[in-house]
Amino acid sequence: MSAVTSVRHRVADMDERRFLLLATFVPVAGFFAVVWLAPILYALGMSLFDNPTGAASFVGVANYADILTSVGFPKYLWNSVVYAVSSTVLSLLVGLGLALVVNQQVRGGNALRTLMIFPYLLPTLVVIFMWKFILDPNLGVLNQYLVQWGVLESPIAFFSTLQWAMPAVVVASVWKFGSFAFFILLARLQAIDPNLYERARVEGASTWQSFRDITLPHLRGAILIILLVRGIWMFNKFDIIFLSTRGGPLEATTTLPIRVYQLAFSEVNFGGATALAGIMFFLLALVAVVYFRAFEPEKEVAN
Amino acid sequence: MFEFGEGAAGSYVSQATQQRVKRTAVVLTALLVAVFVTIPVYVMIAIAVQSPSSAFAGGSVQLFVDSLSFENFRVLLTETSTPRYFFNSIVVTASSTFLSTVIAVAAGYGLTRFDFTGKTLMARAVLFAYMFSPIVLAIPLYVIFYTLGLLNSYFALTLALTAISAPFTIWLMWQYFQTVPIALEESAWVRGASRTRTIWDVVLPVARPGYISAAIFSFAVSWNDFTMARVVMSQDEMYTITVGASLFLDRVSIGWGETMAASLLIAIPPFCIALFLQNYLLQGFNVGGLE
Amino acid sequence: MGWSNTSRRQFLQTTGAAAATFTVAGCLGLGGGGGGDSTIQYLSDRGDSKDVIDDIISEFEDESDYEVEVTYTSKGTSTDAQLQKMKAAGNPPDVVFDTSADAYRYQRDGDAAPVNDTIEGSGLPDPVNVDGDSYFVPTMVEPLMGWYRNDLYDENPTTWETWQSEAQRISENEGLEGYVVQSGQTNNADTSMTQYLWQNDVNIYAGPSDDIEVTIDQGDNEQRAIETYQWVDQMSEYAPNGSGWEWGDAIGALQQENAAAIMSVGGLPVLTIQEARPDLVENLSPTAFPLPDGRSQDKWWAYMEGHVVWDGGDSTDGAKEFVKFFSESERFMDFVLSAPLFQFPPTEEGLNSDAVKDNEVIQQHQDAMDLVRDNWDAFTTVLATGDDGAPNIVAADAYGQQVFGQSTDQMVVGDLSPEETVSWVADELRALQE
Repeated sequence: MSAVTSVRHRVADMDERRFLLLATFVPVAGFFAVVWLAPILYALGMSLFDNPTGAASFVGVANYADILTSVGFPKYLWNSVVYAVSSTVLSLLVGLGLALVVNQQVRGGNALRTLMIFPYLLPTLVVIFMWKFILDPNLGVLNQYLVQWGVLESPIAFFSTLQWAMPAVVVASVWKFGSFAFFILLARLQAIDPNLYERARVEGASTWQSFRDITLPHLRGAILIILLVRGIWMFNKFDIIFLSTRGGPLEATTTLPIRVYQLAFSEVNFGGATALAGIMFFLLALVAVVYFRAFEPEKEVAN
Repeated sequence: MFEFGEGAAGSYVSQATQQRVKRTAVVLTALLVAVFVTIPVYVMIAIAVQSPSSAFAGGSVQLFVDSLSFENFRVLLTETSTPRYFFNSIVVTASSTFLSTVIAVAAGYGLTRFDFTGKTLMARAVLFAYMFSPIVLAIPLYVIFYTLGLLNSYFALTLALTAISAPFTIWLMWQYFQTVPIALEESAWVRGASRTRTIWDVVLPVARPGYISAAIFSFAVSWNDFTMARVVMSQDEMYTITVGASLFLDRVSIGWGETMAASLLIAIPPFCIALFLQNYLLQGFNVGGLE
Repeated sequence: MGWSNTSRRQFLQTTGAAAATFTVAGCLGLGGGGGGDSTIQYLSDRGDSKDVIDDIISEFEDESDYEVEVTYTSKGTSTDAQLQKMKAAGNPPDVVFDTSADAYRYQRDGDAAPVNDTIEGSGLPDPVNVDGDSYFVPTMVEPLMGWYRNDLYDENPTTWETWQSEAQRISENEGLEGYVVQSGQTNNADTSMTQYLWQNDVNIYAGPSDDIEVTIDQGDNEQRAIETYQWVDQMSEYAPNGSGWEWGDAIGALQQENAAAIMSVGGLPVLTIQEARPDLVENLSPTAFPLPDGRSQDKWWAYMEGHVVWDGGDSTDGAKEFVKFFSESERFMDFVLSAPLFQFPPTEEGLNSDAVKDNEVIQQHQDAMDLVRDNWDAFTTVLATGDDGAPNIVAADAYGQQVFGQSTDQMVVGDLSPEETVSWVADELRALQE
């Protein structure tokens, strides 16, 4: 291969690469600026004003100070952490378990896969209607049968009792979001070379050993990213909680996003609402930075 | 055949037992899931296909359907704009799913195959967008779309929905492409295929499980969306089904029968997608294009 | 309603055919947000009455130079959310359909335009009158109302004492709870608690509009408020856990025979139950809220909803014209009666009109209609709780945050004593004034 053709090759190659890069990143960057960057900056700007959508007056970080020193803040933060951590971890475990099961190519695996993805594709509104018909004290069939069979004397209002409200919301969330971890992990499981397992089996590795030494390392990146992204989403989750409990009873399920909503739309304090959103953002960003440092979730440990 | 390492003694027997235990565990989990997932869905269907007076007869919810009735659906289809809302949802969901997946494949491939400075930083920065509580973003978004003159268009809603799903789908594909050995492409180049050609013939088939999960994710985002549709669409005939449903569901004349019927209709496209995709989901490493 | 089906079909055909065109137009960025000088932007949460509203609009458009563009929102806070978006973009609506309390909030923020032309000489009530100008055109009232099982309660218990003993008897002997106590941040819980306090003559507030004082824990009011909470606390013994219950949840309890009586709004419970349990409807009777022995029913919560004209929109004059046209339209009564027994006309004249008398649903529930007629003069809104019915901004804000609903939750779920609950609610109300 002469030097000339090699150079020409490289130039053509460069152009193709540049084209690919441009074709990909320019539109993405454009969307991103319009739909995320600008609104977030706008919202952060609003958090420095009193009554930002009306007669705005600049108040600096006063909104932030008000929110941080308000009585309920630690409790709402705690609720958010409890909800985010429990629903994320449970969704991951459920999704991982199921992905491993389905990956075994069991009979009926096809039907199972269909079933598993389905809840995730349903709008939250529909999910809540379904769960209302399971857990509601009046319409819920769970209560109906428990009472009929004599297990309960009277129906339990799962979404209205201090000790049940949070678990009930978490269960409904896991039902919907368990499949998120499922289909992502399933795709990754299928990218593992089956020969690896065969070799391990021949070498006498136990099921647990091959899971630990082959499966887990291949799933590491996916698991880390699911934990991070799902955790962020659950921390910011609003609709599923609001539609089932409205943050009650007695603030037992009032998480920070519920509080943001109350501030913005029932107390009409938009400065406060955006400030709280800002605080949540900084908290999450802090956690994320530490997480990125510690785990480097984008690194693959394949092969 | 036998390797006498640690704990290997009698491992042949224990492997058989392990297999049996594994089988049982697998079947049990499968059953449990089937029940856990199916029951809420079944309850929804049971209520939707009975007339309200038979679904609630006698003060308890009747889960065993005695007489089928499509009254609930008739009300929805003739007395509300459900068909129109449905159509809108399908238009924007389809275009956004397609767009988001294409972008993800392209960007994901770019991120693994080309090195440029600040790559990791950029990819990480994108994820920070998800950290801002979307509740307060509705107002800025409205202001922006209004200023750009983009209200009430499918185009704007498609863009907005794509922007929600794209940061994650890009990550997904980035990660996925890392597991696809570059050797596959190199052997194609050696045979004289261009980069673009290689992507089409070699990379895409291998990436199928990856981009199918990206597509599933973006479908879920778009079909579930309420906030963006509420921001972009202000005219009744442009509402998506989630917004439209929230409007007619709080009517005085709509009861649980119609609500569950609406839920069932909303659940049909997800169900079709899940059904349609099941054949593709298990085409992994060994089926996906290795020669 | 043949005409409406035809027009809908035509509409669907047209829009269906236009859809492809639209996609292309959308891609070229031709969408656009409307709002020229001759377009009136109308924000409404009455999707229920869409057909009638569309008719009134097209009549109006035939007669005037304006076009009306409606944005429907769902009930609850979504009107507020939509309004804030439009305000922030400098694209406010011209007409908003909302409650009188919200109208007063808009007026306070300087966003409402006077509608004296429509109110003067019309016989309409004038709940948001500030310095002689009217800022709200009422179109309907929605009174609270209770419903009880007449096959379980021998007769309407009426008084606190009888309600309590009867609810107890039913809870102990009939296999379902006698009553429902809603609590938490819901409209149902908030309106009920406010009405309970009114039943015992508690004056929650006093003073003129510009100097509202919280008096719930002052003088005799405190004792009466404590008594009220005590009664509610006792009733919760004979009620399911109703924390976080909105109208529909309480109706669900009545429908599924988990409770024998609920406090709700107008005929909403029968209208809903009619469909699912037609057999149960004849066993339901309407009632006023329970009343302590020796008190009289002189304040009865009735929501008032209607139009506010936005000041500073592009078509303020057109909006005033439209609002007047709407109230005088021939189809006005159809609008009100699109949810009969739940929505009532805003004037006594309207209440006694033939349209109301001839309405089938109302004819089937004469007992509920009688309650409305007999108590018409007691109907009032939470807004009119300043001296002599002057508009009260603290009450409007308290309703917005459902402070009274929360107070019930504090007591029933949080185990505060009635005394502590009264001072809790007084503190919360004063905090609103800061």
